[in-house]
Amino acid sequence: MRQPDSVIGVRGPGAHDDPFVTLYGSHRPRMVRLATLLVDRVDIAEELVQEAFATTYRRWATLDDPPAYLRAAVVNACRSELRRRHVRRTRPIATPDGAAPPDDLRDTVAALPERQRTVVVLRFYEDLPLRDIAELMGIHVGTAKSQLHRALARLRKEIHP
Amino acid sequence: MTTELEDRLREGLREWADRIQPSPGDPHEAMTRAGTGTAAVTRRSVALYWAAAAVLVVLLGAVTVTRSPAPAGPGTAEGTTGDSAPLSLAEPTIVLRPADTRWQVSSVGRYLAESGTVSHFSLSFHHPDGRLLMLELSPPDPLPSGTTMRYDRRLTVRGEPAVAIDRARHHQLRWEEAGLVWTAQGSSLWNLFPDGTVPPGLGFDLDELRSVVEDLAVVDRDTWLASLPNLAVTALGQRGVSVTWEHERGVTVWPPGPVEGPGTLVVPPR
Repeated sequence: MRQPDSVIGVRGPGAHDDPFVTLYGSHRPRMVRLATLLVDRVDIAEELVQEAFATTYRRWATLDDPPAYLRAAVVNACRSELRRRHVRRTRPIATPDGAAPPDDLRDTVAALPERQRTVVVLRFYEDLPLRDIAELMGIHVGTAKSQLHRALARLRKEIHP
Repeated sequence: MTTELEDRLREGLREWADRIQPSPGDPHEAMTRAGTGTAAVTRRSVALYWAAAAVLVVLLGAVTVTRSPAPAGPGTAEGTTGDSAPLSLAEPTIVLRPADTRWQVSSVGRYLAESGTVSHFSLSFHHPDGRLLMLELSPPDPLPSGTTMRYDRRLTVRGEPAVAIDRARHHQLRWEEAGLVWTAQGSSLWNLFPDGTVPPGLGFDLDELRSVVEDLAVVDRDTWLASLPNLAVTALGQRGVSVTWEHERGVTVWPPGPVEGPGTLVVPPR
């Protein structure tokens, strides 16, 4: 990865025991995978996750649960990306990196409205309970439940017509 | 109780995720991007920082002195390079005034969060040759918009420190000005071909994008409204909803919150 020109915050040798570096190493792959499930493309997912890590680092001193904050930042960034895309995009974005799943599940999930898609990924990939999903997305539990119900109904219709 | 569909979703999503091979990543780049990694800034870094700051001050001065003023129109209250008067996110009075007057406004969008406050505003301009300039404005906090991406270069745009992101044949510029985050790109993700490439004619090179962005000007409200198509003004008159006007689609509204589904067409295109 190309190093930025900035000289602010350049870390010297010996900083690898920094808890942030540990968090980065332990959580980044899963966060990139989560983001890719939400936004389709690995390169965009990596950018969003990197920014989420930067935000987490910026607020590190105030965070009680950095991993939870990181995941919320990743999901929020992905949702924003999807919302911006949704207005004009009518077809799913292809994955030029060959990361597509073997069947049509990806296209079907990708075609869901942003909120339904997010709930589905958090429920069935992250295995989060609905209460945690609602809190993470800033919605009521009932809303999360109804979004999941609608998503499953739609998926059931399209995958098992 | 889980259903067959739920099991298939779990299995399918995990299989999809397992096929994704993230790059190694760089935690130090994230720290640098955060801009607060000062705990480990060395004495040498401090010296370099001040040297860079001095160069930036000189550059800012040069840009301010040498930048050509945009053509002024009736009622113009120009706010250009270095202007710090805060802009309203609900009505960011920005126009594009390039020497090439064939650029036209092609869409506006004002998006509301569930709370009813404006979360971001989009404005795009198209040129008959197929080029598209998209501008998005959002609050300074990066979390609500999530628009910040990995950057490849630091540079100065409109007299402000900015970052540039190379996004596979098109570029994105991001900077803060007038109390908002401005994100400009020369073509959009939704214009990508299925193979991820950008259709010919829609990509800007970075210098061209910078050049066009320099032609954005902050004007007074009347001048701004006069620069917009009538339907765009109609769209922005819609209150309490997320609303877009697009040249091809007309005026569409959504309830506050995430923009989902096709929305409600209020005024068809013409």
